[in-house]
Amino acid sequence: MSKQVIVVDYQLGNVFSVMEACRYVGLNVTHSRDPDQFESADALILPGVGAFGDAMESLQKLGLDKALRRWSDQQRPLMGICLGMQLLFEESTEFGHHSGLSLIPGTVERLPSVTQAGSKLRVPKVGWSPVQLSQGFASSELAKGIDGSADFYFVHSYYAKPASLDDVAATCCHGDFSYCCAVRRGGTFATQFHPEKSSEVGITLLRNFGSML
Amino acid sequence: MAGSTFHQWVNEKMDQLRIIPRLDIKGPNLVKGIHLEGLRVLGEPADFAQHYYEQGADELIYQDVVASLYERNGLFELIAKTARNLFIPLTVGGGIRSVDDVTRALQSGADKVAINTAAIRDPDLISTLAKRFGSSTIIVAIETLKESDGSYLAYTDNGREHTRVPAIEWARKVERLGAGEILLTSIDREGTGKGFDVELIGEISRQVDIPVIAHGGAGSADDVASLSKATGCSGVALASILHYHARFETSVASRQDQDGSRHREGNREFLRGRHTMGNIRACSLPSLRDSLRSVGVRCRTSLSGAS
Repeated sequence: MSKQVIVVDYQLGNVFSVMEACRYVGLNVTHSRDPDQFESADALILPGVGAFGDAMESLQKLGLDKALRRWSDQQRPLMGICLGMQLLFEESTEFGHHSGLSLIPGTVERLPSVTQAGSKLRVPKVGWSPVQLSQGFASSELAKGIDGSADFYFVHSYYAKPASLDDVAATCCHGDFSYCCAVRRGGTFATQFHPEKSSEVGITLLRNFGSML
Repeated sequence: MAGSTFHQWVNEKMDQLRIIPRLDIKGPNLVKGIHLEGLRVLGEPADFAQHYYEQGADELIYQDVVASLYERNGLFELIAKTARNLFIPLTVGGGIRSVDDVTRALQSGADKVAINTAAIRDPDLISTLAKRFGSSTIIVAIETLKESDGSYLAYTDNGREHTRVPAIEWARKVERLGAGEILLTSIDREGTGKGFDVELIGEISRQVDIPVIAHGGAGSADDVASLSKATGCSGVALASILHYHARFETSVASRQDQDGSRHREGNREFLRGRHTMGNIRACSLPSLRDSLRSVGVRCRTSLSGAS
């Protein structure tokens, strides 16, 4: 029996790419915005592009915020991608202050647009960047077959800052600025980069996620 | 002095240069022209796309080169058929005019769309689309060339229609309206292999904070290296220089030759010989990356990521 994964579709962004990648690694994937359907799933994936405030508003309107908190309280598998990672934190400073899902302690802040020496850094950051896995994460099942400094694909202007180093699964750099780009806490795993757009290495990560269900 | 400082900046501060094969599509075929005209058929887009994916392309661009002209977008079917299992960002351009068009593009497997003609006709479309799909999904394509008075004006309909919109002002405006990236084509360089218009690309890269992808003029790996060093652009879209090499690489060539009935449409006589276009020294993606790295331009290194 292939495992059933639901991509949470809260009307922001593109669910198709991540679904295609899930299908490719043999998962039985659907998308839904109906919390009642979540019960039968083995895992949820929370994707997302766009603004933090709009995304939270949409999650709340659909009752998905409560469903995601309940899911996480039960330690069930949840994967956040890009904005879907940022939403797991307590608050973001994107266009004012917005509360997040508070599944992981910490905040979301804007990437720096200059280096310490004063050179310009482009925000949004768009492109491939080497990802350093934390020691604990590198030896986990999820990171099996993934090189310690493989390149992944990023598109973002904000980044998450976990309160506890224990939650940090990987880091990367924007110019000379180092930040957390993957977290793991309880049943929740999330990446700032897009595994579904990161070629074979991203597919390996998704396959690992699927095989752990 | 200035040179060495800049070189250091390139080495240490800049993000990796994105290398993006660009597939110009007409009907079912991959085509290539000069100055966006005189299109020649190169083969099946799917074969080239798969080849570039395997060789570590950072992204792909599919551009329907006649879509605006005929107000059609038949590209979506082609993408749905050919790009499903290519897990890198895919941009689709040509004939995209509305929220519905973008939705269909994303459903077909695209991750971003490039708009030009429709954006110039109605600049507010950029903000509408950025708000609906997120800025990161919306690329504005700017096609321009140097006029006799030295100015740069934007063109539409794949370089066919002249507008009075100054390209540099337009670049700043599309950033304000919420475009996530700019795909900048130098029509007068496109397909010629005479090198990039570094003056223009450098100027627009400095004027905006969003990523700029340079397109038009690559004749050699050296042209790409000097483009990156001189302009600090974020990415480069490449066609002839890669296609003319890929055409003869085994994985593409064998697929092309298996079926003699393919590619009946268009001029393809010139492909029978091993010649390329005059100024273009074609190369493979891996050899391009090696050349770039050897002169200090950062690009993606670990392709499989497997340990």
